Amino acid sequence: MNKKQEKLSDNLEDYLEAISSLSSESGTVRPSDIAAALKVKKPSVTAALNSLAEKGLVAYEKYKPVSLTKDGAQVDTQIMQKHKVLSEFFTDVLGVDASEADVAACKMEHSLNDGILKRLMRFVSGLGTCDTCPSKKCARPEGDCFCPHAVPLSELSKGESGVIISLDKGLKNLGTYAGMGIAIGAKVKVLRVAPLGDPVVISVHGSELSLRKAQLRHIRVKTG
Amino acid sequence: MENLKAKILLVGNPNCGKTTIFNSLSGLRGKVGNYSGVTVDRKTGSFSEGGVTIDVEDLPGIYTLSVSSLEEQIARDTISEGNFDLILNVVDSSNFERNLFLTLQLAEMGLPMAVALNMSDELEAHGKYIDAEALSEKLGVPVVKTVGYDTKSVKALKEFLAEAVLNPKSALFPWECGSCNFLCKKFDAIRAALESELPEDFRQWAPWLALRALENDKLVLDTIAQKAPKLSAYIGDEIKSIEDDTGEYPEIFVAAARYKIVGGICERCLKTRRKPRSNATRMLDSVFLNKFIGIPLFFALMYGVFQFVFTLGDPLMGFMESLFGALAAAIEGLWPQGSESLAKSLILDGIIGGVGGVFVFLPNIILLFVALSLLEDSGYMARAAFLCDRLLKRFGISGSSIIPMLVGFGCTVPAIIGTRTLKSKTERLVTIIVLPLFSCGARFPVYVLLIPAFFAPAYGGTVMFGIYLFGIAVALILAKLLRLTVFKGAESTFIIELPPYRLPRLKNMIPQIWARAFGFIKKAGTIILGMSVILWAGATFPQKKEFSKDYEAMAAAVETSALAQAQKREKLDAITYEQNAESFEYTISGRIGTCLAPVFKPLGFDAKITSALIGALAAKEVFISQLGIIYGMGDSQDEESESLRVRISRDYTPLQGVSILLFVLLSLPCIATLATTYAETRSLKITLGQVAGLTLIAYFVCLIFYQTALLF
Repeated sequence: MNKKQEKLSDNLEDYLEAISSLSSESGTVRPSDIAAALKVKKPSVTAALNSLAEKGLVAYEKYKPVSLTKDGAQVDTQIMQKHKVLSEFFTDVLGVDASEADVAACKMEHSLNDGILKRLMRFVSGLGTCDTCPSKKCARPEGDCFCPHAVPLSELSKGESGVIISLDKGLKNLGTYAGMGIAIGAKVKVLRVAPLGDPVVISVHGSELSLRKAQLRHIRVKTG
Repeated sequence: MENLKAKILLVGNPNCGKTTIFNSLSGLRGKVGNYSGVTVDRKTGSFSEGGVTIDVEDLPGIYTLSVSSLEEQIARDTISEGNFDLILNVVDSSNFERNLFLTLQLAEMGLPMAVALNMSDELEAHGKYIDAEALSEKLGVPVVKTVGYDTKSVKALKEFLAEAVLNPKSALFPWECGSCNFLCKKFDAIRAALESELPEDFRQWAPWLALRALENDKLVLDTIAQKAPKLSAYIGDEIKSIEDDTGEYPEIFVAAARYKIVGGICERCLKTRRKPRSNATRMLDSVFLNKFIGIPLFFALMYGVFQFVFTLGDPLMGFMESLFGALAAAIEGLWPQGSESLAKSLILDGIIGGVGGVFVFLPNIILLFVALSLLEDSGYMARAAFLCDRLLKRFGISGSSIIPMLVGFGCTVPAIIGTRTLKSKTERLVTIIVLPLFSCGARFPVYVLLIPAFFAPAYGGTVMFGIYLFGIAVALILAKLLRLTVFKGAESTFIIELPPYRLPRLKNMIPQIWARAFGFIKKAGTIILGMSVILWAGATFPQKKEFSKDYEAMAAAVETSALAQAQKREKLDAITYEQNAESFEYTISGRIGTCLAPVFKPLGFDAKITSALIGALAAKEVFISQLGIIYGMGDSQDEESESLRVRISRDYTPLQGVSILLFVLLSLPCIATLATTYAETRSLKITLGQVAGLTLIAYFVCLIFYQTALLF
């Protein structure tokens, strides 16, 4: 992660965005163009450009057009991605009007950190309706869910049940698990535990399987 | 009427009753063999119906068509060969949902197919039924309900197959997109790419190949990488993009989507008629898998199984002994009385004696095969593995090894063959190597002879128990060591299905038991025969012609003396024994024994014991008769021989006695075990490693024990 970006203020990010979009529209960017686009006064532009130049994100010399450096272009790309993901979320999922979505995205993109961005991206990349979530309002992508009630299957005790929402990479032979019934979306119930505490018998897709707790730790379920 | 020929493959989950159907269809014409190079049963047979002769091949039970296990590979390979007219997918109706997963995978391949909804009686007992017509419509292939062991149902199945095979229908590709968003996009993209790249006659496979690529099917991906590297790179990118976007492997989504389709089919076809009666399996499991009585009950059951085997087995073993005895007598009659012919000795002592010694155990071996089959087919074996897994996990093996280990207390040979149920190759090899340490029935007579010679009757039982326990301990420690060194590997995937309890049917078990027994006789028989001859030669040549004493003169003197008849007999016997003992020392075995004596001296063994142990390479109980020969008492000694026992207790200290017992416990039991290890592992390295390893362990344990004990 670019150290400089952590310290970049919302304001400065807006400037990068503006420079980038102006340059793709008309080629050359002058401070006056930026002032007009962002609706700010010229001295503010100068101050901002100086700050950005200091951070190595723009190439700024008096009387010469402004352009983004390689680093600056990179930062800008990241911001644009965040903007895109947000606005798609607003329009595709929430059914918000495009222009409204754009404005909201503009404001929210600055506060979206990478972790939240990734989750939002996964969410948007496949859409469906979760018919197992208690609230039913949760719109989940086919095969994945960020329900906060998810726990590893190893933590369920006898008699408890849940729905599988993820199988993590720690499991080898995923094909075998699937063939025996352990797949995302399957309802599982813990039937019994061995006298010595391990392994565990679960019922899934109509059959009873015995697995070790160490394997169950890699299977996350949503209870309730 | 023209006699048409066709071939069908039976494909289905384990425990779906395929074997019953196969046996019902093929009857006595069913054969059990091996797939080349592996120890997986290959079942082929045939039947005739309506003018068609149909060959049937029963593929190993599989859960999925990926290629992660040996059974799956065999099934895939056989299907890929394309040498069949129809696939009969046998489905366990009472487990419809899970079984459909494989059905859909088969349908995705677009193969000519029919579905048999087996165990439909069990499903009805649960108050449910399947709408076969609706299922047939959905899949596009004929569907029939069967009850595998019911003659009427089997007849109907034969008629059904005779018709289906003449007019084979291929399954419809079951995927309709719309059930899943991003996955379908990727699927379409990959399928399109494949369609454009593939030559025309392979284009129909594009949908299936696309699906398999997404499911990380190694075989498919490797083939594409070889034949079309650019396409392979593109597919790799698409797959990676799914991983990046979602953080999970695409195969997870394919499986989830497939189960969604399964769910749709179940909704349409699986109907409830009435509320189910209580679940017998659940009730039984609440007892068998109970937290408190589960494990004790397991040991009690296993004890019961052994009692059954030995109660039936002992009289049968006696019968075999008499059989071989009669055979020996009959053959002996071919030579004149008192003949010293070498040929006679070779046949009687070498071949019949050696081979007979092992084959006397055949009834026990077969009964243990029966026990294994019973445990597996009833469904209890899975429960045993479940109960014992935690214990065995610590030693690098899994619960599935417990049954072979317990069987090993009877005889190591069926125990080694019983390891075929183990899924992990590494664990299977480790189990096979340590199995001989579970003191088998053949060593029992040796303990019975030696223990009372050195220990007061009160302690006898404890010492016996201690020996068995020590064997188990060494086995488990050795297993752990092997898993940490030579057979390193991550903890294997332990996932086994607990099938419903079912009554095993004798008709089903017989072909497999017969195949195993016959296989043992054939494979092990040759090696045993060879080794018996070698050992006989070692104990016979060179023959001593000149003796240290003039035994003949001594015998003549006794004959003409004035002693009572009984005393004369005794003295004559003693002379014969002395002469025999001297003869033996002159032979190769005898000399090896004398040579090795210094090597074994630190263990507390003298030349006699060492020679007897060499003889005991053939089979452990031979130790006793060999000892008898060495002491000059002839080869008719057995474990109840007071005279032999008395001599032994006089000549050796209790410490030496324990050392001998330990050596007998830890060293390799017999050549039958060796032969079976080789047959099941197909590796000379492992077999020799087992011999060397166990012998070395026996040597050093006894060495350390004896020398340490001497200090006190």
